[in-house]
Amino acid sequence: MNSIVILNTLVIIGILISAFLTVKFDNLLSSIIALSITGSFVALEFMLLHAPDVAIAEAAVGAVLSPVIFIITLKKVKEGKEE
Amino acid sequence: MIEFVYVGIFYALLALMLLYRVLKGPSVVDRAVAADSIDILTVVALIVFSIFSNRSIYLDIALVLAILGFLGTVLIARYLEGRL
Amino acid sequence: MIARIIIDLFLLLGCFFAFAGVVGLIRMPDSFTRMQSSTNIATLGVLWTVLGVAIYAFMNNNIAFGIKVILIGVFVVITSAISGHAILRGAYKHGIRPDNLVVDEYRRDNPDE
Repeated sequence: MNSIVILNTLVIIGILISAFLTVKFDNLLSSIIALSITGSFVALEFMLLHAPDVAIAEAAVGAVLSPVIFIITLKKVKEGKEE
Repeated sequence: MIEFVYVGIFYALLALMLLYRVLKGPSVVDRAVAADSIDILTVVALIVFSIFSNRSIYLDIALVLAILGFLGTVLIARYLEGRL
Repeated sequence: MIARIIIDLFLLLGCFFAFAGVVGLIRMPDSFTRMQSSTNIATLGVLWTVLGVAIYAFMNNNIAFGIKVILIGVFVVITSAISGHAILRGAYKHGIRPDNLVVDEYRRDNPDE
């Protein structure tokens, strides 16, 4: 039981640091990368809390799909600014 | 005789150490490489925790992360290359 | 008992290679050498651990678990090679060069890019 508490603490520290980095970065692409790291850590935390269905949805959406959509949005916004 | 939880704790600690490179990387490429490595370390921690708690359904999350996790890195590479 | 010792050896080897890859990723001086050190984690560090877990699952008559774990290992190795190649090309075309660059064979082979 004690080792599970240690693992939870490490993963929560990772979530907090990566979420702080998402807000801190000035470059938008670096901010998107930190958001993807946050999604991966949150999926690990959901599985440590014994919720595998929520963890599958979080791993597919938070770690992969939302950074892809943000990168495509960034590309289209920079195309519109040059014209 | 090593318990599997200690291996999971070690891999989570390694993923926490890699956040230093995400914080201090001089360019976007270093941050992307560090994020890819954090994804892979998370997959290994999921495998080890699932065999510790002896549930086969927990392994599907690791399968989803291992199959889909490289799409973000490939898309960042295409964006840096200039032909998205 | 002898199988348990073999599993522990595989887990220790995986932990050692993953630790070496993380230390290389933090302390290497250059962007391209950091990429070389990150593929160390994805191939050797994952493969030894996956092999140890699969042997443990096969030893407890848990065949589906072992096959799924080996499938995850194969996917990780394939996708790591693809993403490493893509990010290397992207870094070169973005204008990042190594520190002590002597011969540039990619530029010599493709002079128009």
